[in-house]
Amino acid sequence: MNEFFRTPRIAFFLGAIVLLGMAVPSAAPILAGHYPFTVRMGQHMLLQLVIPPLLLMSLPVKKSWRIWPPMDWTLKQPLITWLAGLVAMWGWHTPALCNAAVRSPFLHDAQALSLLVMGAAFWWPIAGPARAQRLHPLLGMFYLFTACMACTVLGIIITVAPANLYLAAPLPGLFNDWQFASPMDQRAGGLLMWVPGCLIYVCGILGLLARFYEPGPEAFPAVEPERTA
Amino acid sequence: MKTILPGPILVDTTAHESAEKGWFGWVATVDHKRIGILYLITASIFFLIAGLEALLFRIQLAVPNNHFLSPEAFNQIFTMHGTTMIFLVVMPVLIGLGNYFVPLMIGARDVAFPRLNAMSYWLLAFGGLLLHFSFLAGGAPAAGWFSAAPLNETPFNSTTGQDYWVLSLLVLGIGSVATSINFVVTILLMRAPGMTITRVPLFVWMMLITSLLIIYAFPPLNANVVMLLIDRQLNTAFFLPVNGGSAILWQHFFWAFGHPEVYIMVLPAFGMISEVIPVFSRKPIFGYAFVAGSTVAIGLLSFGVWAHHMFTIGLDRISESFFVAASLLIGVPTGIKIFNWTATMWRGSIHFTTSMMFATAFLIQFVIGGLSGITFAAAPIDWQVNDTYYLVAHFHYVLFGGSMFAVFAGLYYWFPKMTGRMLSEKWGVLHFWLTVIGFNMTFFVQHFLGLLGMARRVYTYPDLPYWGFWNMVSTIGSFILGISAVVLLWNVYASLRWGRIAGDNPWNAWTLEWATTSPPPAENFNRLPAVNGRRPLWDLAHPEDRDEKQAGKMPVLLSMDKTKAGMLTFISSESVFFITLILAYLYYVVLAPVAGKAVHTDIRKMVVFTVCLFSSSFTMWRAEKSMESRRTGSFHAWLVVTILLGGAFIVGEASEWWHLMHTGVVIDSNLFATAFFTLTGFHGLHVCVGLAMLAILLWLTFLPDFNHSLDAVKTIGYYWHFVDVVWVFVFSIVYVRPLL
Repeated sequence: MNEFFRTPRIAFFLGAIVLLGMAVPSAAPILAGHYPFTVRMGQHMLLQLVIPPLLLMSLPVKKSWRIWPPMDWTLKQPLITWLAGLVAMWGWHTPALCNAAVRSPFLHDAQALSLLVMGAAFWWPIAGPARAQRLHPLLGMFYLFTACMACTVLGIIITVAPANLYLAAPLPGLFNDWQFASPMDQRAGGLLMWVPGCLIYVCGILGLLARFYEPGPEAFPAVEPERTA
Repeated sequence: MKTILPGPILVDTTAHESAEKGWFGWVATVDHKRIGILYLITASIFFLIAGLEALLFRIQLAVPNNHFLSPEAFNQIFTMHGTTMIFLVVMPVLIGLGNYFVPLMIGARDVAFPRLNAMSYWLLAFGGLLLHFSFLAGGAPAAGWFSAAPLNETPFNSTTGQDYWVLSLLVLGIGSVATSINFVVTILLMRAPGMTITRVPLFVWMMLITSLLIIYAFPPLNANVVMLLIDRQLNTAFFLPVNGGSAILWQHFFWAFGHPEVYIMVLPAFGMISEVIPVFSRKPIFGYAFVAGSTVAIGLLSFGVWAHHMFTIGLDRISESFFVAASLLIGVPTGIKIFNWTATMWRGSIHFTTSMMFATAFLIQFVIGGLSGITFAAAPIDWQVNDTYYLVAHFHYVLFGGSMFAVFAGLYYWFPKMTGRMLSEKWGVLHFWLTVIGFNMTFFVQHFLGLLGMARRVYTYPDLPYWGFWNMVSTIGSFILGISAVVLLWNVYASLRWGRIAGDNPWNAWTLEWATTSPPPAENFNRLPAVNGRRPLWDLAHPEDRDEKQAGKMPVLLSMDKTKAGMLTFISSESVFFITLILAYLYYVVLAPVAGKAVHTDIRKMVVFTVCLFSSSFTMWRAEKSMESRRTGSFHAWLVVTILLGGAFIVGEASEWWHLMHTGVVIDSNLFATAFFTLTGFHGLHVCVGLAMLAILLWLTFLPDFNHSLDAVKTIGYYWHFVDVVWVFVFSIVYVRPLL
């Protein structure tokens, strides 16, 4: 426990909790329908791209983690975890599903939870606490780069798409004065995914590079990923 | 984990393909060093042509209301100047130096695919000829180097010059991607023992990142020019707003290429500076990891900020704010590099050779170009000064004051290695000062002209206060630059004839290219020194003071068949090409509902043929398995079934097209049809290429000396699976989506 407080892990953990606090209360069903689309997009980005890696980095690093055999197996398949990230992001932003999640409180919670879980699966081979299950930094960079490309493409589509695809209501008060409504709202949401979304992946890639150039033999696994019996 | 033992390592010295003598030897060569020199010679020739073009329009602009050139000639000449300098001078000179030195610096015998390397070069040579042939075929292209739509369309540009521009860019684009695949595979898989990727010279690292930029940035350009060609030749309207097309989409796709292109032209230059400055400061580079890491950051950011080239086309404020912020961010990693180079020089024992002088001038001039670049990132300033001479000054400070100065630094540094003789320092210093004075005279004053309101690309201007004066200064500067080029040519000629013999390592440098003779033998090295750090020759000379005290900590990365790696890299590039085409399809058909009547596609028929195509992936996999267990008969059977299924798909696709054409739906019917035929057509073309590859494979397996190369089969298998995966997306978007 002491070790937890002495390392950056505590900072990652607190950061994740604070961001979670920002992202989740707005998930309360009463408010959700009344938020601009951009705010919801920001929420999704936090839930999928920022909070999971922070939580993962707050875990103690071990050689390998054993949780539950099927899950352990899944987390060792980069293609599956990559697809998990892709499916969560593209799936929840198809207009039908995205709008359904605004109308139904149950779907809304399912959305938040699945973004978190699938986000965690996506980040596991990059920021996960199991050293043996991490991708080699160069492969990891490719993993993040391609995911970034998929995120960019979706962001572009949402930005360019005809307005009013997504249910949204402007906030009363200040936001009303800004006249922050569709089409501007939807465009801003798309851009949020396109530009800052991409920057999150870039940060991940730079983190991998830092690990790559860090001296010492234990920074990342050797050529063959270790097979556990 | 391999531990690399110190001590000389013998490399495999089986004779390199015996070098042919004379002219034919140069034409038929597959040696990376000869190809590198061919690149350099070609780039020099085009440098002279594009330089002369610049002098012509500087004469025209020297005084107000001049009539030295007609407006038409002026347009053609500045278009050719820009296109030539970018695609036929800066890129080839960087790729040429990379070709020559990357294998040497990582201790390899050649690049991964020598014949592909030769092909890339010849695509460059013929692409350049194609572009310049337009002069004889009714006029050169005249729409500027970025050829904005709809100016590039037939109604506004009806001569064939624009078509030559499209075709040559396509040829050059394919060549650049091919050569980049070569670099990536060479750098990842062919490094000498001990040369881990964290130890490669920074020039090599920058060439790796540049190659990745080329691989992912050129496909949008290729798709874009292909669509333009279809517009111009088949009378469609992708980018023609009067018929519902979108001129802005052209800009998006063009700058999605165009912005990374800036870094494609400047990162290898950064690499050369990172080699030259440490050697002539007699210090290792300060913060190797930061220089390498900031390169990655620049490369990645460059893909996300292209819209800052489009602030004046009327983006909305929200979009602009995002791209302003992201564009400003690029200043950070670039600034880091400047600090690294400066810190390397700090308290170094600096030797101001000509090479180092060019590198120092690079530092100062690139900072000026970078700072004016940051002013462009702020949208309101951009509205004021975009497309004025301020912009012209900015990008010449980046590309001439930056890239070309770095190339000169690299040339003076590496010329002894390439030729065995030193370039004359006396002529070099003259060349340096003429270049610095000429360059700054030509371009610094253009900042003032731009701020005074002079637009770029005007063929003449009225006699406004100061305009004539600054333009005359600029023209005089450009002639000084012209003289400096002559001095350089003379220096090269004279040094080749009478220059001092260089010896293996005239600069007392530390990287592997200096561990062999000058010029290197055909097989590059007879013996490679042990690589235990980033400066192997320093370690060799100072065993008591090695850079890395403990040897061989890093595990060796990736051992993979290079053909497979090449194919996977190619496929990732092709994916971007298809993403671009699919985005265009979505834009015209789904997002911007101006496409016209929907094309009535026959999904029931296509489901059958889709099943054929998908099952051919399964049969291909079975064929690979049979090859793995050496069952030749079953391998042949599965391969034939794969070809038949793929062929059935093509027949199905053709019958779909046939049916549509018979009901009067052709490519220029409306935008919907244009997008449909383009997307399915390109997929069909790729299937045909895959079929040809499979057929060749089948034929090869019947030859008596077939060596059961599983890797070859898998490589072709990758491509075949790729065309199937693309169809998953095309089929769902074109056929399934309308049902939802």
